[in-house]
Amino acid sequence: MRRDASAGFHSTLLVIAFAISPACHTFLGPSAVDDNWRVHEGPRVTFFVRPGSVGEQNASRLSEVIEDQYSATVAALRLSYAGHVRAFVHDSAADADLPSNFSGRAYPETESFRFVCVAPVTGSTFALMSHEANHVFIINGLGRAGTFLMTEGLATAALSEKYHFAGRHFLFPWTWSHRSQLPALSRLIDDAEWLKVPEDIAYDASASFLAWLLDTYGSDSLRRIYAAASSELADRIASVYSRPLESLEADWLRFCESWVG
Amino acid sequence: MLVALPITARAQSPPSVVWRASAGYDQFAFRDVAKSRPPVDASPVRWRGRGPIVTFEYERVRPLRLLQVEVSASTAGDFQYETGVGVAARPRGDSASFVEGHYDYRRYLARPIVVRGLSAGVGVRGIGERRLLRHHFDDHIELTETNVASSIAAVASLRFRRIDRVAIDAEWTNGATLARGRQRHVDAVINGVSEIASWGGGWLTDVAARAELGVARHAAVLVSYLRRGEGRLFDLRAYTAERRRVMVGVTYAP
Repeated sequence: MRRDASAGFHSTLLVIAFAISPACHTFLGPSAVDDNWRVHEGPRVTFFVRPGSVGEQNASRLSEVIEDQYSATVAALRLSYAGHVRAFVHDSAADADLPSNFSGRAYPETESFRFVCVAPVTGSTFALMSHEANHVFIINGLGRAGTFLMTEGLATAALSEKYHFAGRHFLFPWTWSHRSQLPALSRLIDDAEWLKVPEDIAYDASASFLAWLLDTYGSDSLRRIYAAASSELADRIASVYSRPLESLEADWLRFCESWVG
Repeated sequence: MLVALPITARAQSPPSVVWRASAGYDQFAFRDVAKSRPPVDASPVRWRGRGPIVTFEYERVRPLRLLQVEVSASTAGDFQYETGVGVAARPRGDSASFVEGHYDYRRYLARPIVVRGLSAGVGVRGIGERRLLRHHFDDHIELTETNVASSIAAVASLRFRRIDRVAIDAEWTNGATLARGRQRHVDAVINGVSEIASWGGGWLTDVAARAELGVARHAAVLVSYLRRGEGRLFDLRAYTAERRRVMVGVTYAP
């Protein structure tokens, strides 16, 4: 009788353990695909907006800006990519489960990106949207970059300034005014170090340097260093540009000092 | 007269050998991930395809123990993007193929649980897999993702052997994965090729069920279902995937 009770107890424990054991998918899996969207078709980018949101009210304007950005990025980097991209516009950081109202994320393999769009819609909104879209255009056009510097920097370095001035008009003066806070480029090319630098400085310094590199030496040279990993980027730069990284860095800072827009 | 299902008939006379062959329909869905820490930030677009799968199993069964080896191969096509509010067809070249093998060792409790004929077991599963995913952008840009992975997983299982000729099994599997991932990007227009490779980690969760009905002295027919959720994290990229398969087949116990 006692043995039966013990067996029953263990059996019950086992069943309970099965029922409440943490499954990996519960904690590590993604949320379901959302279906609360209204669709605004564009020539190369389709927008998915929340019904009645700021994004829906500004869908035509957003479409105009992103079509210009698409053309600008393809031209600047000589990409052959011409895929159709899907943009998901959230009406708050909470809706997007993102850290702030100035946040976005890109998903190149599924040709999509999402970002938060709140009133007032300004150049900052356009720059955020364009940065995320550029990840899709660039990664699908060139493959994965080898470093964070290239991944995040080039997405901003390729910004078109037709509808805002958050590209070169911001980056080059910002570089000179923040020169005392900038980490050496030898740190920024190292992914482990890049993550230790304050986020805004890492993003903007990377973008500023790559924008200067792109304008000064063209896209062919940039493409040759694009996929280099942290461990080989300094040597690749020296080989492609026939100058060491420190020499390029000095020229870039001098350029930012004298840049007048 | 039809005899009981082989597994049931030989439950008291160890060990018995069982072979299974089955074929069916496998569905694969992929979402790239921008942030892999919980809560996982996966793409709002799902890349989904479907295709055939075949599986072969070898099993050695003792009353309270089970050893199983399984190999399967599948391929998926007819891919489309799913956005939650619509679907868009992808190029015909988009595809996914899988070759997978796994080895199981399992122990069952001697006494039934809850109802007569129902027993619970726990086990460990080792999985080896190779997969190839092909995305096409504009017909001239091809992105291929090749993963060679090994996983170790814990399996919780229930089996029901109360009705003569009928056997029902259910499994819940959770495991960790170590993988080598290689992503290759080819642009035929500019003749550009780039490739990155790195080690990565991941997880998997399987929920599976199988029912077998004895139809002859040594044979049974089976129907099975599996749903898998998984995640893979590599240097500078990550993705989550889901597979669902429904199969029918035969069981043979010589």
